[in-house]
Amino acid sequence: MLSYIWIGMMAAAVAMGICTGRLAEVGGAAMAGAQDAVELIFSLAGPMLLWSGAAELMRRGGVLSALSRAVWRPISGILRLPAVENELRENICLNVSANILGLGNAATPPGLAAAKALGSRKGDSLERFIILNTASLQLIPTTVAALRAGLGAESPYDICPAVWLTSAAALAVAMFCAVLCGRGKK
Amino acid sequence: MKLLSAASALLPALILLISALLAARRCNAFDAFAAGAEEGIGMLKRLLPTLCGLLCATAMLRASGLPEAIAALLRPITEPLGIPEACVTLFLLRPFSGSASLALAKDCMSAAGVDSFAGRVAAVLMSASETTLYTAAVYSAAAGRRVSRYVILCGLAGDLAAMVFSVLCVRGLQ
Repeated sequence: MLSYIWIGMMAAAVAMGICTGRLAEVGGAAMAGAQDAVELIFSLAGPMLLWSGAAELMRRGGVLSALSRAVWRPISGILRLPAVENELRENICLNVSANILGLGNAATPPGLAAAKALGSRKGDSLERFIILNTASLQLIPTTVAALRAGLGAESPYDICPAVWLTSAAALAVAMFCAVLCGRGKK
Repeated sequence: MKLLSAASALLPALILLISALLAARRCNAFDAFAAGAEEGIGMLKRLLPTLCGLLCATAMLRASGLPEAIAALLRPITEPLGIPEACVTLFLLRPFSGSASLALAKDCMSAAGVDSFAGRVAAVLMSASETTLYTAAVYSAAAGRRVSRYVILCGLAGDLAAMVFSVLCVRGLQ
Protein backbone atom coordinates (compact mmCIF):
# COMPACT_ATOMS: atom_id res chain seq x y z
CA MET A 1 0.00 0.00 0.00
CA LEU A 2 2.66 2.50 1.09
CA SER A 3 4.70 1.73 -1.99
CA TYR A 4 1.85 2.65 -4.33
CA ILE A 5 1.07 5.80 -2.39
CA TRP A 6 4.72 6.82 -2.50
CA ILE A 7 5.04 6.26 -6.24
CA GLY A 8 1.66 7.94 -6.78
CA MET A 9 2.70 11.04 -4.83
CA MET A 10 5.94 11.42 -6.76
CA ALA A 11 4.33 10.72 -10.14
CA ALA A 12 1.58 13.24 -9.41
CA ALA A 13 4.17 15.82 -8.34
CA VAL A 14 6.23 15.36 -11.50
CA ALA A 15 3.17 15.38 -13.77
CA MET A 16 1.82 18.51 -12.10
CA GLY A 17 5.31 20.06 -12.24
CA ILE A 18 5.43 19.53 -15.99
CA CYS A 19 1.94 21.03 -16.42
CA THR A 20 2.66 24.12 -14.33
CA GLY A 21 6.27 24.51 -15.47
CA ARG A 22 7.54 24.07 -11.91
CA LEU A 23 9.60 20.96 -12.59
CA ALA A 24 12.82 22.61 -11.39
CA GLU A 25 11.23 23.47 -8.03
CA VAL A 26 9.90 19.92 -7.74
CA GLY A 27 13.39 18.51 -8.27
CA GLY A 28 14.90 20.87 -5.73
CA ALA A 29 12.18 20.05 -3.21
CA ALA A 30 13.14 16.35 -3.32
CA MET A 31 16.55 17.15 -1.84
CA ALA A 32 15.11 19.60 0.66
CA GLY A 33 12.55 17.03 1.77
CA ALA A 34 15.19 14.37 2.40
CA GLN A 35 17.22 16.85 4.45
CA ASP A 36 14.03 17.74 6.34
CA ALA A 37 13.67 14.12 7.41
CA VAL A 38 17.06 14.08 9.11
CA GLU A 39 16.43 17.37 10.90
CA LEU A 40 12.99 16.17 11.94
CA ILE A 41 14.35 12.93 13.42
CA PHE A 42 16.75 14.92 15.57
CA SER A 43 14.03 17.22 16.85
CA LEU A 44 11.74 14.21 17.46
CA ALA A 45 14.44 12.20 19.22
CA GLY A 46 14.30 13.85 22.66
CA PRO A 47 10.54 13.66 23.24
CA MET A 48 10.34 10.17 21.72
CA LEU A 49 13.08 8.74 23.94
CA LEU A 50 11.51 10.40 26.97
CA TRP A 51 8.18 8.89 26.09
CA SER A 52 9.46 5.36 25.42
CA GLY A 53 11.21 5.52 28.78
CA ALA A 54 7.94 6.53 30.42
CA ALA A 55 6.12 3.75 28.57
CA GLU A 56 8.48 1.13 29.98
CA LEU A 57 8.01 2.62 33.45
CA MET A 58 4.25 2.24 33.04
CA ARG A 59 4.61 -1.36 31.94
CA ARG A 60 6.91 -2.33 34.82
CA GLY A 61 4.92 -0.25 37.29
CA GLY A 62 1.84 -2.34 36.56
CA VAL A 63 -0.18 0.46 34.95
CA LEU A 64 -0.83 -1.72 31.91
CA SER A 65 -2.17 -4.66 33.94
CA ALA A 66 -4.23 -2.40 36.21
CA LEU A 67 -5.79 -0.72 33.19
CA SER A 68 -6.38 -4.14 31.61
CA ARG A 69 -8.56 -5.14 34.54
CA ALA A 70 -10.46 -1.86 34.43
CA VAL A 71 -11.39 -1.85 30.74
CA TRP A 72 -13.24 -5.18 30.61
CA ARG A 73 -16.65 -3.87 31.70
CA PRO A 74 -17.06 -1.10 29.10
CA ILE A 75 -15.37 -3.16 26.38
CA SER A 76 -17.51 -6.25 26.88
CA GLY A 77 -20.54 -3.98 26.59
CA ILE A 78 -19.31 -2.47 23.33
CA LEU A 79 -18.40 -5.86 21.86
CA ARG A 80 -21.53 -7.58 23.23
CA LEU A 81 -19.48 -10.33 24.81
CA PRO A 82 -21.05 -11.48 28.08
CA ALA A 83 -18.77 -14.24 29.33
CA VAL A 84 -15.77 -15.59 27.49
CA GLU A 85 -12.81 -17.82 28.26
CA ASN A 86 -10.02 -16.18 30.24
CA GLU A 87 -7.45 -16.14 27.47
CA LEU A 88 -9.67 -14.25 25.05
CA ARG A 89 -10.67 -11.82 27.74
CA GLU A 90 -7.05 -11.14 28.65
CA ASN A 91 -6.03 -10.62 25.03
CA ILE A 92 -8.85 -8.16 24.38
CA CYS A 93 -8.09 -6.20 27.54
CA LEU A 94 -4.37 -6.11 26.86
CA ASN A 95 -4.96 -4.95 23.29
CA VAL A 96 -7.29 -2.15 24.34
CA SER A 97 -5.23 -0.93 27.28
CA ALA A 98 -1.95 -1.00 25.32
CA ASN A 99 -3.67 1.10 22.67
CA ILE A 100 -4.89 3.54 25.30
CA LEU A 101 -1.36 3.94 26.68
CA GLY A 102 0.08 4.37 23.18
CA LEU A 103 2.11 1.15 23.33
CA GLY A 104 1.36 0.22 19.73
CA ASN A 105 3.90 -2.60 19.58
CA ALA A 106 2.41 -4.24 22.66
CA ALA A 107 -1.15 -3.94 21.36
CA THR A 108 -0.89 -5.86 18.10
CA PRO A 109 0.03 -9.43 19.19
CA PRO A 110 -2.80 -9.85 21.72
CA GLY A 111 -5.12 -8.03 19.32
CA LEU A 112 -4.45 -10.51 16.53
CA ALA A 113 -4.82 -13.45 18.91
CA ALA A 114 -8.16 -12.05 20.06
CA ALA A 115 -9.31 -11.56 16.46
CA LYS A 116 -8.50 -15.20 15.76
CA ALA A 117 -10.48 -16.40 18.77
CA LEU A 118 -13.41 -14.09 18.00
CA GLY A 119 -13.42 -15.37 14.41
CA SER A 120 -14.59 -18.78 15.59
CA ARG A 121 -17.53 -17.31 17.52
CA LYS A 122 -20.98 -16.53 16.18
CA GLY A 123 -22.30 -12.97 16.09
CA ASP A 124 -20.66 -9.71 15.19
CA SER A 125 -18.21 -9.37 18.09
CA LEU A 126 -15.30 -9.82 15.66
CA GLU A 127 -16.57 -7.02 13.44
CA ARG A 128 -16.98 -4.73 16.43
CA PHE A 129 -13.54 -5.59 17.73
CA ILE A 130 -11.94 -4.70 14.39
CA ILE A 131 -13.87 -1.43 14.25
CA LEU A 132 -12.69 -0.68 17.79
CA ASN A 133 -9.13 -1.13 16.57
CA THR A 134 -9.63 1.12 13.54
CA ALA A 135 -10.56 3.91 15.94
CA SER A 136 -7.89 5.66 17.93
CA LEU A 137 -8.10 5.06 21.67
CA GLN A 138 -4.80 6.67 22.53
CA LEU A 139 -4.87 8.73 25.72
CA ILE A 140 -1.68 10.67 25.01
CA PRO A 141 -0.78 11.33 21.36
CA THR A 142 2.93 10.71 21.84
CA THR A 143 4.25 10.83 18.27
CA VAL A 144 2.26 13.89 17.27
CA ALA A 145 3.13 15.66 20.52
CA ALA A 146 6.81 14.89 19.87
CA LEU A 147 6.37 16.27 16.35
CA ARG A 148 4.77 19.42 17.75
CA ALA A 149 7.57 19.81 20.27
CA GLY A 150 10.14 19.36 17.49
CA LEU A 151 8.49 22.05 15.41
CA GLY A 152 8.60 24.49 18.32
CA ALA A 153 5.00 24.41 19.55
CA GLU A 154 4.38 26.51 22.65
CA SER A 155 2.78 23.67 24.56
CA PRO A 156 2.99 20.38 22.61
CA TYR A 157 0.42 18.50 24.73
CA ASP A 158 -2.30 21.14 24.74
CA ILE A 159 -4.04 19.37 21.86
CA CYS A 160 -4.97 16.51 24.24
CA PRO A 161 -8.49 17.62 25.18
CA ALA A 162 -9.38 18.17 21.52
CA VAL A 163 -7.89 14.76 20.67
CA TRP A 164 -9.93 13.00 23.39
CA LEU A 165 -13.19 14.62 22.29
CA THR A 166 -12.50 13.89 18.63
CA SER A 167 -11.55 10.24 19.24
CA ALA A 168 -14.60 9.69 21.41
CA ALA A 169 -16.87 11.19 18.76
CA ALA A 170 -15.24 9.14 16.00
CA LEU A 171 -15.56 5.92 18.01
CA ALA A 172 -19.19 6.67 18.82
CA VAL A 173 -20.01 7.26 15.14
CA ALA A 174 -18.16 4.11 14.03
CA MET A 175 -19.91 1.96 16.67
CA PHE A 176 -23.28 3.50 15.87
CA CYS A 177 -22.76 2.52 12.23
CA ALA A 178 -21.75 -0.97 13.37
CA VAL A 179 -25.00 -1.34 15.30
CA LEU A 180 -27.00 -0.22 12.28
CA CYS A 181 -25.13 -2.52 9.86
CA GLY A 182 -25.26 -5.49 12.21
CA ARG A 183 -29.00 -5.08 12.60
CA GLY A 184 -29.56 -4.74 8.86
CA LYS A 185 -27.94 -8.11 8.28
CA LYS A 186 -30.28 -10.08 10.48
CA MET B 1 -7.66 27.10 29.79
CA LYS B 2 -6.97 25.24 33.04
CA LEU B 3 -7.68 21.96 31.29
CA LEU B 4 -5.06 22.71 28.66
CA SER B 5 -2.24 23.37 31.12
CA ALA B 6 -3.21 20.25 33.08
CA ALA B 7 -2.72 18.19 29.93
CA SER B 8 0.77 19.61 29.51
CA ALA B 9 1.73 18.45 33.00
CA LEU B 10 0.52 14.92 32.29
CA LEU B 11 3.80 13.39 31.12
CA PRO B 12 6.08 14.67 33.92
CA ALA B 13 3.40 13.84 36.50
CA LEU B 14 3.07 10.32 35.12
CA ILE B 15 6.83 9.71 35.14
CA LEU B 16 7.19 11.00 38.69
CA LEU B 17 4.24 9.03 40.02
CA ILE B 18 5.24 5.69 38.54
CA SER B 19 8.91 6.12 39.41
CA ALA B 20 7.91 6.75 43.01
CA LEU B 21 5.67 3.69 42.90
CA LEU B 22 8.48 1.53 41.54
CA ALA B 23 10.98 2.91 44.05
CA ALA B 24 8.57 2.09 46.87
CA ARG B 25 8.57 -1.52 45.65
CA ARG B 26 12.38 -1.48 45.60
CA CYS B 27 12.51 -1.71 41.80
CA ASN B 28 15.09 0.31 39.93
CA ALA B 29 13.00 2.98 38.26
CA PHE B 30 15.86 4.58 36.40
CA ASP B 31 16.93 1.27 34.83
CA ALA B 32 13.38 0.75 33.61
CA PHE B 33 13.32 4.23 32.13
CA ALA B 34 16.69 3.77 30.41
CA ALA B 35 15.68 0.37 28.98
CA GLY B 36 12.52 1.92 27.55
CA ALA B 37 14.39 4.90 26.11
CA GLU B 38 16.78 2.49 24.42
CA GLU B 39 13.81 0.92 22.64
CA GLY B 40 12.98 4.42 21.44
CA ILE B 41 16.28 4.51 19.55
CA GLY B 42 15.14 1.51 17.52
CA MET B 43 11.87 3.28 16.75
CA LEU B 44 13.71 6.37 15.55
CA LYS B 45 16.09 4.26 13.48
CA ARG B 46 13.19 2.52 11.72
CA LEU B 47 11.39 5.82 11.24
CA LEU B 48 14.23 7.74 9.55
CA PRO B 49 14.36 5.88 6.18
CA THR B 50 10.56 5.96 5.95
CA LEU B 51 10.40 9.66 6.73
CA CYS B 52 13.24 10.40 4.32
CA GLY B 53 11.42 8.81 1.39
CA LEU B 54 8.04 10.23 2.32
CA LEU B 55 9.09 13.77 3.20
CA CYS B 56 10.91 13.82 -0.11
CA ALA B 57 7.65 12.89 -1.87
CA THR B 58 5.52 15.35 0.14
CA ALA B 59 8.00 18.18 -0.51
CA MET B 60 7.84 17.43 -4.24
CA LEU B 61 4.07 17.36 -4.05
CA ARG B 62 3.93 20.74 -2.31
CA ALA B 63 6.38 22.32 -4.78
CA SER B 64 4.28 21.09 -7.71
CA GLY B 65 1.22 22.97 -6.49
CA LEU B 66 -1.02 19.89 -6.68
CA PRO B 67 -2.32 20.09 -3.07
CA GLU B 68 -3.65 23.61 -3.72
CA ALA B 69 -5.29 22.40 -6.93
CA ILE B 70 -7.00 19.51 -5.10
CA ALA B 71 -8.00 21.80 -2.24
CA ALA B 72 -9.53 24.25 -4.73
CA LEU B 73 -11.38 21.39 -6.41
CA LEU B 74 -12.83 20.16 -3.11
CA ARG B 75 -13.65 23.63 -1.82
CA PRO B 76 -17.44 23.12 -2.19
CA ILE B 77 -17.19 20.25 0.33
CA THR B 78 -14.46 21.47 2.65
CA GLU B 79 -15.56 25.08 3.01
CA PRO B 80 -18.96 24.44 4.65
CA LEU B 81 -17.24 22.00 7.05
CA GLY B 82 -14.57 24.58 7.88
CA ILE B 83 -11.70 22.27 6.94
CA PRO B 84 -8.52 24.32 6.40
CA GLU B 85 -7.14 23.96 2.87
CA ALA B 86 -3.67 23.07 4.13
CA CYS B 87 -5.15 19.92 5.72
CA VAL B 88 -7.07 18.60 2.71
CA THR B 89 -4.42 16.19 1.37
CA LEU B 90 -3.76 14.91 4.89
CA PHE B 91 -7.48 14.22 5.35
CA LEU B 92 -7.61 12.33 2.05
CA LEU B 93 -4.64 10.07 2.81
CA ARG B 94 -5.16 9.48 6.55
CA PRO B 95 -7.11 6.17 6.29
CA PHE B 96 -4.67 4.69 3.77
CA SER B 97 -1.16 5.12 5.15
CA GLY B 98 0.09 5.96 8.63
CA SER B 99 3.58 7.06 7.68
CA ALA B 100 2.53 9.01 4.58
CA SER B 101 -0.02 10.90 6.64
CA LEU B 102 2.55 11.53 9.38
CA ALA B 103 4.76 13.13 6.72
CA LEU B 104 1.81 15.17 5.42
CA ALA B 105 0.90 16.23 8.95
CA LYS B 106 4.46 17.43 9.52
CA ASP B 107 4.30 19.27 6.23
CA CYS B 108 1.03 20.93 7.14
CA MET B 109 2.25 21.89 10.63
CA SER B 110 5.49 23.43 9.41
CA ALA B 111 3.91 25.18 6.40
CA ALA B 112 0.86 26.62 8.18
CA GLY B 113 2.60 27.07 11.56
CA VAL B 114 2.54 24.47 14.31
CA ASP B 115 0.29 26.55 16.58
CA SER B 116 -1.94 27.85 13.78
CA PHE B 117 -5.50 26.64 13.32
CA ALA B 118 -4.60 24.37 10.39
CA GLY B 119 -1.53 23.04 12.23
CA ARG B 120 -3.62 22.13 15.26
CA VAL B 121 -6.36 20.51 13.21
CA ALA B 122 -3.70 18.40 11.47
CA ALA B 123 -2.26 17.33 14.84
CA VAL B 124 -5.67 16.47 16.30
CA LEU B 125 -6.83 14.50 13.26
CA MET B 126 -3.53 12.63 13.10
CA SER B 127 -3.85 11.61 16.77
CA ALA B 128 -7.56 10.91 16.85
CA SER B 129 -7.76 8.49 13.91
CA GLU B 130 -6.07 5.30 12.84
CA THR B 131 -4.86 3.91 9.54
CA THR B 132 -8.29 2.33 9.06
CA LEU B 133 -7.70 0.29 5.91
CA TYR B 134 -4.39 -1.15 7.11
CA THR B 135 -5.73 -2.08 10.54
CA ALA B 136 -8.90 -3.62 9.12
CA ALA B 137 -6.85 -5.67 6.64
CA VAL B 138 -4.42 -7.00 9.27
CA TYR B 139 -7.13 -7.93 11.78
CA SER B 140 -9.40 -9.45 9.14
CA ALA B 141 -6.52 -11.61 7.92
CA ALA B 142 -5.87 -12.80 11.48
CA ALA B 143 -9.53 -13.68 12.07
CA GLY B 144 -9.46 -16.65 9.71
CA ARG B 145 -13.00 -16.19 8.46
CA ARG B 146 -14.81 -13.83 6.15
CA VAL B 147 -15.34 -10.50 7.86
CA SER B 148 -18.44 -8.52 6.94
CA ARG B 149 -17.67 -5.75 4.51
CA TYR B 150 -19.38 -3.14 6.66
CA VAL B 151 -16.32 -3.07 8.93
CA ILE B 152 -14.48 -0.88 6.41
CA LEU B 153 -17.52 1.37 5.99
CA CYS B 154 -17.89 1.84 9.75
CA GLY B 155 -14.18 2.53 10.14
CA LEU B 156 -14.28 5.12 7.37
CA ALA B 157 -17.41 6.68 8.87
CA GLY B 158 -15.41 7.04 12.08
CA ASP B 159 -12.59 8.72 10.13
CA LEU B 160 -15.05 11.11 8.55
CA ALA B 161 -16.40 11.95 12.01
CA ALA B 162 -12.82 12.50 13.21
CA MET B 163 -12.26 15.00 10.39
CA VAL B 164 -15.38 17.00 11.19
CA PHE B 165 -14.83 16.86 14.96
CA SER B 166 -11.13 17.75 14.78
CA VAL B 167 -12.12 21.05 13.15
CA LEU B 168 -14.95 21.64 15.63
CA CYS B 169 -12.90 20.72 18.71
CA VAL B 170 -9.88 22.81 17.77
CA ARG B 171 -12.17 25.78 17.15
CA GLY B 172 -14.17 25.19 20.33
CA LEU B 173 -11.27 24.59 22.71
CA GLN B 174 -9.03 27.43 21.65
